[in-house]
Amino acid sequence: MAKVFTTDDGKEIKVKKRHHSKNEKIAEYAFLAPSLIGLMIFFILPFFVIIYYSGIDNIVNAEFVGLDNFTALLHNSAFLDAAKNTATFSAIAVPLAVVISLIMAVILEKEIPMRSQFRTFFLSPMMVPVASVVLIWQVLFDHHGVINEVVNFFGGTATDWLESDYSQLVIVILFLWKNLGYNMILFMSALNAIPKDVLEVATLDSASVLQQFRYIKLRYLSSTILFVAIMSLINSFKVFREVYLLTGDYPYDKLYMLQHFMNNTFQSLNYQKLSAAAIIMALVMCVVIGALFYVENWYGRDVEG
Amino acid sequence: MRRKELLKRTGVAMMAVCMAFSMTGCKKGGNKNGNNTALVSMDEIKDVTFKETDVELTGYVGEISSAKEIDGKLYFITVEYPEADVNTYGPGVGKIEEVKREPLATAATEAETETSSEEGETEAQSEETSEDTTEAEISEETSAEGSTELTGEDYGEMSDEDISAQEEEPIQSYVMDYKLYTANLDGTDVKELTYPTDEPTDNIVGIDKTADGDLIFLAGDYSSEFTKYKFIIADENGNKKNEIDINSTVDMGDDSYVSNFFVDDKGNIVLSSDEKMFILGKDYKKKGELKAENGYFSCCGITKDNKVVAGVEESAGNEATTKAFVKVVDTDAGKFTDSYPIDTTYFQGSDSIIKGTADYDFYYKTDKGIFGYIIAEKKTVKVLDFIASDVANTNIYGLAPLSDGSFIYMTYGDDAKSHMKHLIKADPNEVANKEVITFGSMYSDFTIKNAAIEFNKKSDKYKVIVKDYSDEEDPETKFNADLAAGNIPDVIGMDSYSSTPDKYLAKNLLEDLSPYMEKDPDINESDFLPNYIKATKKNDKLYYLATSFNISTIAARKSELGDKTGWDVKEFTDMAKEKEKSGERAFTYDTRSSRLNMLFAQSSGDYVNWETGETKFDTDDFKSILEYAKGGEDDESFNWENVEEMPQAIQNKHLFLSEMNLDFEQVELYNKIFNGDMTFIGYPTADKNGTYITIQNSYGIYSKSDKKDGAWEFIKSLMTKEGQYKISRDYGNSIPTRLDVFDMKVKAVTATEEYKDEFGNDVYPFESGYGWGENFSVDLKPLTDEEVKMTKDIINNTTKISTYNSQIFTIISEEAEAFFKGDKTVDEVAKIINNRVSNYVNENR
Repeated sequence: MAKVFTTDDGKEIKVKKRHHSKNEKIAEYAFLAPSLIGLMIFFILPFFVIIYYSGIDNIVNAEFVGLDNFTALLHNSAFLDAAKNTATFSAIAVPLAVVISLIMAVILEKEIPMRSQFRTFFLSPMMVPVASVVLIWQVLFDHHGVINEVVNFFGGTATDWLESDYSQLVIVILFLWKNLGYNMILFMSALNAIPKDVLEVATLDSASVLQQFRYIKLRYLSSTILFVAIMSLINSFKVFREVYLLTGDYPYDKLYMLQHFMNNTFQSLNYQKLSAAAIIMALVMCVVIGALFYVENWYGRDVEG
Repeated sequence: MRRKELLKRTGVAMMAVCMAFSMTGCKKGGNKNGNNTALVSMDEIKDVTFKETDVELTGYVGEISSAKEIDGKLYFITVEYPEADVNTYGPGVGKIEEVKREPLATAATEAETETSSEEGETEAQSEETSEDTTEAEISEETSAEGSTELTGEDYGEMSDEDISAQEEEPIQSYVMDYKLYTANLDGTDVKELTYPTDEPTDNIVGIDKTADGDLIFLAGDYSSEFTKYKFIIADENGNKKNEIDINSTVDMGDDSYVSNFFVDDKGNIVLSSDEKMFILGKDYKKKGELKAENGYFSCCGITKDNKVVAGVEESAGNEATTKAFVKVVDTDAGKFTDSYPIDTTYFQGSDSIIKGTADYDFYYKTDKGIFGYIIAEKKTVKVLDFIASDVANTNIYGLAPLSDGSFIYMTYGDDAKSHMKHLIKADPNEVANKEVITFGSMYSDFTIKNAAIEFNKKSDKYKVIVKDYSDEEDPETKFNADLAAGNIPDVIGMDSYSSTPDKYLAKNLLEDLSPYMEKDPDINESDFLPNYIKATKKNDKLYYLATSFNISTIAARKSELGDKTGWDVKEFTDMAKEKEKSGERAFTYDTRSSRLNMLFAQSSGDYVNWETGETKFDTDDFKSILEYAKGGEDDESFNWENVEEMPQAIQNKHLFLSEMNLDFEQVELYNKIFNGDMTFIGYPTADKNGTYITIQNSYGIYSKSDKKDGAWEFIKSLMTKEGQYKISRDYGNSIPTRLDVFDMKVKAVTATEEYKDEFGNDVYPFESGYGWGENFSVDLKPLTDEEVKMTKDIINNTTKISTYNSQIFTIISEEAEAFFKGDKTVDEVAKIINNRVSNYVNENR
């Protein structure tokens, strides 16, 4: 079937869709096959195995129990606490990571002094190994750490930060410290890709800096914001690594995340609980990311056609 | 153009195919039947089965203490024991000498000297059966000039009359006789050679031949503070030609001893301890010195091509595990050249590497079997499996390969005599087809392996193969992975630590054994101790069986506790505080962790409701435990050295109770320590019933096994009277679970005269002794009727299994530190503990 395009001077141009020959199709699939096979073996098939595990009572009896595992899980206070903590952490940390890194990118886009050094400074936490990060945080936030020394100096009372209601705040700071640099670089790259002529036209039309940012830059950045948000969401789950090293298998209530739950259920051979939790988490992620895509599609439709 | 396009596409397609193959085809190693591979089929078993035959070796006197094959001849040393107990080692005619006992002060000094000279003592005597000390070389032996029954100046319970009587009693000093022999490898032509030394302090560590054909012996003198080594060169008849002192050349270090010694084909002499290896030239001068970096030398040997190789065990990054390597030594340059990882975590003894034959550069021995290594391919092949071949591997020494692929070795039999054996590869067609039953556990000791061998010998239908997960870097993770993959052993061995029965029961992994016992004509529930059955049954079903158990409880003075048989935390802490006023404590090592551990060890069930998930660690009851525990001394600053020993502390009324792991011997021991004023009170718990059964090893059948009948037959073999009797001899004084074996044990510990039991074994009157430092000792004799009654009473009344939960205790001890240091209040800590444990409990509900 041909598509018809009309040029500015009224001419009609037919563009035929190229049909691939059978050989070409075979060649295409052959080239895709290794990656597809890998994807199947390491991602898709295991996911179906997880679905199977979530529907049986245990891996020994393997009797189908329907949604009983999910029901039990949704009544399990440990799972609910973990889900709540994970959701709270992500809800706080991800928007902050996006907004702060965007602001930093906008600032560093300007020709400010020591711009390059600042960029390096913000990127350097990415290079620090996890064990070193944990060590630094322990030195800072331990009961006899630097922060408490400062607090005591100013007459306050020392707090065990990681075993108090401020524990999530500590982890949010750790998350931001580690991830802002990477997000900032992504935004800087996206800002550079915005067509300069559009901004010039806006300047000529007396648009303020804020108006340019809101009506032009943000729209062009919408896909990058989506990407950064998704990456930050994924990284927010990965913060389990640092939390685990700081606090172990069973941390203080506020730090008990979904990954703790899943890690521990794996250790105790409770595969059905683990699988059910993984599926619920995957479904929630699908909804969240789907919503993000929808918003991005709606907001960025002008620039993406 | 079209051809170019075609070539381009073909090239890219080939690259994609290569990538696909590399992704799916790559694998680790390439070792066939590595150490960790469990045999699962009869074909695999037949492949590694050897038949064992006896080799008649006669014409020698005494028992063979060590043996080695040199140039196609067998050289062995025998030792002749006099009839009485032997305390001295060295050459000479066996005789008994009576020596007047020295006065106490002098005896104390002699014993100090003796103690330092005994530090190098190894267990390579024919009476010893430890698998760690089997040696191919002439075994290390130490000399002790004579042992003194030391009691020091303070005899504790002994009266002046007893002291005088002991001083009058002469010391009996014994001297053993060593002889050197040679024989053909088929056991014929046994000839006695001249033993190369007359010095009583010379202990032959190893024997080999020099490049000139002389015999060379390495002799160690352990009588002084530092071991002295020398070479003794002798002719082919053992007549000494020369002695060479090598102490200035070879410095093994203060606490190390030569464990390997041989001469390579170039005439270089190789000696090694666990830390260092020395290479000496033909002129006995040092050519090289190597150190085992990141590990230690376990064994050394020579390859088929006459390269010297060293077996090294290095840390695998995880402190709990090691990884074994074989490193090739360049004897001229004195350094390692190549290194080959071996598929095992450790070698089995200093004689583990032996020269290769046929296809293999060298063989190495582990507790699983004999493996051949092909250096060019870096490949390990399992040649012989010990269990498949029905060979008990704990007693093997002098192992040597023959040119036809068979092996000879020396062993000690159940008759405590040495035997020579020949292992010949079995024709697979002649090996009986049996149903393979897999036994798996986190750690399989020699007792269960020997039981498997005994079972295999007797069973025509089943063959038990042992899968020992302790070989894995992370045994628990590997077992979990096997569980997920469905590779679960037919018989599961469990312990009281990480692989507990409760853990497997929660996953429905265990079969109910009650129906098997009901229909079995040989075993019934009524054969077992009622309390044990009651304690181990769940919902009226029996999921596992054990051969023995212990009782965990607390002993205290009956005069202070009266008829009380239990107490709760408040009663305990009230009494402890009252006692502290008079200077009497509750713990030998009165630290915070000791207090916390004892108070909480068995009472976790009081604070956790697994049904509802409720936890009560924020209650006043638990807070009182923390507050009491804080009263102990800080663990880090506690002086562990100068602590009054438990028996003296009890006798001097500085200690009013003691935890104990009860068995027959312990009951008598503690009763004497308490001067007959002893009762068992148990751990403080809410229900005042704090005495528990602890089971170290138990066995169950995998619920989905398709070989349950065979699995039951194997478990049954452990639980018959004879099976449990044999195992109980290995597990010391643990309490047997069978009534009849229990009665045999009671008879044995109460016998006052020697007799033969119904299995034909000699039973001697029970005699044992314990000493603490130099000032206190307790001699144990056959138990009295009262002591037996005391033991039986507590056993019969104990029907609870230990509920110690290590995860909960870890959380408590982590958080309690902050309270002990004063960083947090008891309320804060209790709240955090409750919070953390609550997550754990709800997660596992």
